[in-house]
Amino acid sequence: MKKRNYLTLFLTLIFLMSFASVGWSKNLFHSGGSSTMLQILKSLLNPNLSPELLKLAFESSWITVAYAAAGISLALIIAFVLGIPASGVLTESTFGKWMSFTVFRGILGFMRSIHELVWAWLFVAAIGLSPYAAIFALAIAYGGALGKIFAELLQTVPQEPIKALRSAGASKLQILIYGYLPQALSNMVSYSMYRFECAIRSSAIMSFVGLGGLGYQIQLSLTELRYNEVWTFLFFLIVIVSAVDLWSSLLRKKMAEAAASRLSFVKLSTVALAAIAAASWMFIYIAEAASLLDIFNAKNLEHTKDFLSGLLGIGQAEPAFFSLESWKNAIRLAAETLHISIIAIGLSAAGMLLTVIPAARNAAEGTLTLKRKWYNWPLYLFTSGLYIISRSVPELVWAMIIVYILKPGILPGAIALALHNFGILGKLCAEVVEDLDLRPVRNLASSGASSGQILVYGVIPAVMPKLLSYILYRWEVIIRTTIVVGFVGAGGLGQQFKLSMSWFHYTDVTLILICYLLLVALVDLFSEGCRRIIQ
Amino acid sequence: MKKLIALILTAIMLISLSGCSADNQPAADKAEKSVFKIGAIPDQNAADLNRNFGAMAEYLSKATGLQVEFVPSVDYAALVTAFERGDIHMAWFGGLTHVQARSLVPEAEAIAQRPRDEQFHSVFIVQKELNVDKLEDLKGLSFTFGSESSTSGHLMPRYFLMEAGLDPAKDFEGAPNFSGSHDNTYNLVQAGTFKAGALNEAVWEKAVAEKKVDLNKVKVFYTTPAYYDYNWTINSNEYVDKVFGEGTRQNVKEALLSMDNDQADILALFQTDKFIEANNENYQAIETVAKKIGIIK
Amino acid sequence: MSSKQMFALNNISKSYGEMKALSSLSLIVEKGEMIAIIGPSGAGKTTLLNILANIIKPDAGEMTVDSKPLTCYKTPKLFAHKVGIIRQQFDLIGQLPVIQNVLAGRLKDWGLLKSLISLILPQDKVQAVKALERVGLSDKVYERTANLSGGEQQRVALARLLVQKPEAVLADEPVASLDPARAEDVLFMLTKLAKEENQTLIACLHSVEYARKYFKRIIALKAGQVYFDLPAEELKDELLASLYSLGDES
Repeated sequence: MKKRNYLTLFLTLIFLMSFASVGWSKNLFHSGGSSTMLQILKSLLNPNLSPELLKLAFESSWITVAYAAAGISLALIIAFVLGIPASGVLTESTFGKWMSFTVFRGILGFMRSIHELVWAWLFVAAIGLSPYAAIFALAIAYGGALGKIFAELLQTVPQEPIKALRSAGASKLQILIYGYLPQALSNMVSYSMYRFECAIRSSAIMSFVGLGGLGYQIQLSLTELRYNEVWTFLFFLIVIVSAVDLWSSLLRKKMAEAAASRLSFVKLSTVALAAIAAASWMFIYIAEAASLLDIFNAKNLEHTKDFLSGLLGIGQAEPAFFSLESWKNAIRLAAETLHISIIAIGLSAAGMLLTVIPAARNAAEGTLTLKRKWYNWPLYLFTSGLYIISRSVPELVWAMIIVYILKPGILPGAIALALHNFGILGKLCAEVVEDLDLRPVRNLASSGASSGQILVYGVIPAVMPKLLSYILYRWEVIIRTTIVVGFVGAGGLGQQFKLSMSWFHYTDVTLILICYLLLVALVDLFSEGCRRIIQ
Repeated sequence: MKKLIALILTAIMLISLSGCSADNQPAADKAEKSVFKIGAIPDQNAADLNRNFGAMAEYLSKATGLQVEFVPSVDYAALVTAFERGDIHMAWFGGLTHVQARSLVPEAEAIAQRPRDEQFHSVFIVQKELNVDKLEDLKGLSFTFGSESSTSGHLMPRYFLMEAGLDPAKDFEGAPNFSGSHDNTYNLVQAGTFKAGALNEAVWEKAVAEKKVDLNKVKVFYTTPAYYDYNWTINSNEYVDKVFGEGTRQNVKEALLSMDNDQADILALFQTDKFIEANNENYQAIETVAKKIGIIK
Repeated sequence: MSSKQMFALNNISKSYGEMKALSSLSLIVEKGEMIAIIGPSGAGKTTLLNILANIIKPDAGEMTVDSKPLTCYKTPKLFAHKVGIIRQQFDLIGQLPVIQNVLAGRLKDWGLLKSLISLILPQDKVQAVKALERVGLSDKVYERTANLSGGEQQRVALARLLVQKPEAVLADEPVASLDPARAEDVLFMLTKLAKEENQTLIACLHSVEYARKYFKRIIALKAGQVYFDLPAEELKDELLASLYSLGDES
């Protein structure tokens, strides 16, 4: 208990120090930044809803969803192929288990350490500007994340039925398909749905490697300063993401119910999802004329080889990773990236803490503090609406908008990340408050505590550990994403990554990726340690 | 439930398999290959590029008998990569992208350019009310380049800034921005997002002529000395003559050089009245500058 | 003569760390016998059953199944033709429909492809439905198994055994979590089916009453050894009292 408080204090101090070390002396807005912001906000009230633009928005939405579905369906295959061996359920010997844990976990970890957009850039360099670069990138990043979870789910299924199958003479693979998979399936489905929602956002930002869709339209409208169109596309993105979110929570609920009626909804959803996936592949194959086999030709092999040897610095006089100067620069940028991520998580955590109580349903209903005020419901709707908007818009899109308002540097990236993660953290943490055991609160109330006192003595201490571990968990995600907000000039390793790719300085790219992976690993370790202290 | 999942997986596999088998047909393959693809660095807004290069593709189709198509690119580097891969057979490059492309495809050749490209300039623009009339005055102001791979929007402006004793990394207010294209640059300065910027003279003149820029808000205060910029670069024999027939490179070059008053409307889109011969040696100076700045190693 | 022996155990010992679960136990089970194993908790009943089922290996001693040493049964599939097991109701995959749980008894004969196809289009369906009819569940073929009651789930497990068709059935506390009425129902069915199929049946039971009622031979274990081994009708109450008494453990 004591330890946890010290940790909280320590983390808060780190954040405050990082926050203070931003160059606050100069003004951070562009000279015209505030007027730009005003224009952007003004156009929020009159988005462009002309029929042509709406048609374009519908088409772009479909492209975004289609690529997300294609990417996720491929990711599912990868997740099964790698996640099953990584779970160790197919191996019995100690050596076999050790192999599957280290080798396959290692591969999965590596796949998900690198952000999908970075994968996409690497694929574009290797196989050219094909829609498959984006699909593969999504499939690899999400395959890694899904595979890890699948492995964990398979490991934790009840063992009695497995033993029964074994003694009925089933082989390992038969046990897998009759025992492990059916038992883990419902959790696998709900996690995959959650990831599908994330993939839609990722698919939108694949515009950076030339993929059409909502992100591309947002980018075009932004560069031509047509903010009212930007909002139209953003609304579409928000609606799609919220719809999938709603669908997945409904599916989760129905699958948990044992009633017979659940089957029809679950079945319908499965058929619908299958149809979306099939239609997506068909669309990509026919409408976008992108065939899968075309990619695997001798020419691409040659280019991939060239690219890889470029990354490894083969035949180059001075690879960047052997130059002290380059290392110094890369480490400085890594520190900057870390700095951005700390400010980002700090800001989003602060925002979340300020809003999480009104955003909890039980607060709105008045059961949390046992006082019902007229403003509870409007406040609840407002904050949860804010969360939805905030998390539906990918951090990169927030960054694209913010670089028009703030000067390039550390802050725009941090704020973009904070804006996106504010909504995610808010939603997660509001659910923590909603799931709170209310008996202690009632006790406090019956001893005459006011609403404020109930919050301070009853609610906050009870939810704090969980909130703190969510914050740390999000920080791990943010550090992976910090590199991509750099693409639009928001500083850190990302900006250098993009410049080095544009100038074909591939050994610099390798160096940046090494630093990036080290940074991700370091943050993961630190955060894991902190979470252990909290629990 | 389990059934359905299995069904989906089978369906997905079947679809991807059928997809795979279909594209083995050699006929489709050939049709795909025989399209002569031209590209352009995305230095202006997408709609303008599509119009200009679409018209050019149409003309080239008629003049050479090839099936010519314009393929838009997301950014400068993507075009260079596509060119290296032989996905683009001829590209409208800037000086820097031309040099980058040639370091990847040594056989590539600059075949045509506009007269103005031999004497190209960048302009430095600033918000009108600011008291700026030489490069040194930019110290302490916020500044935007165009694309990081642009010759007239980044490389040469950076070079002349350095010649004037300014360090772009330190002397501006904040780090310099990369707007992505010349159109973005004047838009951002006009909107007040950045106080100053540098861009391609031709794009600037066109924007002024088409009244896309408000001269009451933005002014030009410095024009750089001349350097070589844009040209049509054709890919190596391996990707051109070997695919489209002996002499294709020559035919395309002649088609470009023979454009005259009959094609005045297309030439106007390129802000010129003709194309003249270009050659690789013209870009020696650009290469030297790029090396000096560290863009090319 | 020897071909009539289903199981033959010779001086089997098994310990878990300090604890001796079985010490030098010898036992012969003829084909077609109906045996109940009783004894206080910790007497080694489950260990014995698991050794018979080839789930755990004894520390010492030999065992033959159908007169062949265990090394002859190279794969679990081969062994599953000889021996089938039924435990408490947690043996089934609750998420699958009843028919799939029954058909799991056929997995030993199926290749991977057939098993996969069967998840969508149940194979050998007639056999499974017949088995379900025999256990009185013909109306629940496609029901989600988790929605069935405990007794019904045990009957599904019996149907699985019918489909698996082993020569011997080992039952480990098959009715431990059922109420008396259902327990009798399941035991009645278990013994009846074993008789009809000419199977050898060995069941661990807590209840002496059920053991007497449904089985012919009763083997009592105490502290890892055979305490007595008698026909059901010869079982005396005094013997039972001393079996379950706490005092005289050596």
